[in-house]
Amino acid sequence: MSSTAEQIARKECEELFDPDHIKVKIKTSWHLGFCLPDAEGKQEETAVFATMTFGDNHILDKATSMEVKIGERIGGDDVMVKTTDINEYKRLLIKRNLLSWSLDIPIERDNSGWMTAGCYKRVSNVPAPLLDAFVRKFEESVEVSEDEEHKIARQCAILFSKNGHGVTDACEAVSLFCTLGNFSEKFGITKEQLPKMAYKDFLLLKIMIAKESDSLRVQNGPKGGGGGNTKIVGAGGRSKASRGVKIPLPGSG
Amino acid sequence: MATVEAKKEMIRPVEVLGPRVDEKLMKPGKYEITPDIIFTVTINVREKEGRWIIMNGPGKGIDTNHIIFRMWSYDEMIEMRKMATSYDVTKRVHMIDNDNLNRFKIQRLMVSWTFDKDNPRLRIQHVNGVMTDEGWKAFISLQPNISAFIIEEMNKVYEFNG
Repeated sequence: MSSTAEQIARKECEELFDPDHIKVKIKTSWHLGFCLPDAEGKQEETAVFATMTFGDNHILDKATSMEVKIGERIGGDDVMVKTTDINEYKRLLIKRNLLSWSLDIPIERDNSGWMTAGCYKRVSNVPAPLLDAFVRKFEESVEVSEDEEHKIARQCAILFSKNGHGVTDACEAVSLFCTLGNFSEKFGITKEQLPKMAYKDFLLLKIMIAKESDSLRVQNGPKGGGGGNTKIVGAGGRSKASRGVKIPLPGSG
Repeated sequence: MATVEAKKEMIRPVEVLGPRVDEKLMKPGKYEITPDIIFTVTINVREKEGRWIIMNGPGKGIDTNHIIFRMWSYDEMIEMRKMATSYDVTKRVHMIDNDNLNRFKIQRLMVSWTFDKDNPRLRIQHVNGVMTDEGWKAFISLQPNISAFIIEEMNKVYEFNG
């Protein structure tokens, strides 16, 4: 139990204080003469990827987008839609974001930050299942799962409703939105600065923000009343983001 | 007094060098795929009432055959998946045609088999690393349960990590 807690703490710490890198670990075993991913394997291989930024995704998306014909207009013109070549995207992702790993092939990058052609030639010769496992695990750190999306939709429906007083057990998106939104707007503290803030200061400011939010609600509420209990969302921040975007309820039209 | 002007420095074009000789001679790393990295699928069959039935292991009256595949590299995987992926315009999603993908795997990664030991008509030949159409016809001429077994065992390694 405690070792698991420590592992989680170490992982969170890496993510918090080294937000530019994502470390991916894969359990492996040697089977049929080559190294393959194996959930029960005794060996472990590690790869470090550069965190996928908006810029990275924009570049890769642009480089791999293609037009696909989806139909024809009455006049005879083709109706096209843009889509991404997901396989080519994965190949470029390796060239762009793989920084280092525990395998015996050194990763070399040119001045522009891309993997050199010679290096990629060797890297791409690694057994496909192994490299694919690294890529899949890295992609998990970028993707928003369907469950996560549903949770966000549910919590936002409550959070941004007319009488919403905040949500309990806030998901990561809501917590980030409220905490960062409030701290950035009020004190100009960015996402990079927040982890270095003294925790006591954070707590004090969080209480103050929640109190201010309550007092505003009381003032703006019907007959100057309404409002009520102080509820703190997730890791901090007032229960309702100051500049919330009204998100319509699913199916409300 | 005569003055000798210094030669102007010539700007030499930067030579693009290939890999160093020692790098060229360097053996592949232990994780790199080479053509000799192969795996074998073994199939045991027994004839019953004019058709072949797949058996669990070797034994009396059971034919054992071996099919040799080489491991695919990441680049080959991407290339084959690209060829087998199409965009479903109705659902707006990418779909992998697994039948096509399996065909590419057989044609590009199957090295040899022992089905040709008694029948030269089933000999597998490759041109530029790709199985000839005759080779593919030989594969699809196998009984469906045999070809399905080979594909299943092959994919255990390629897709499900052995």
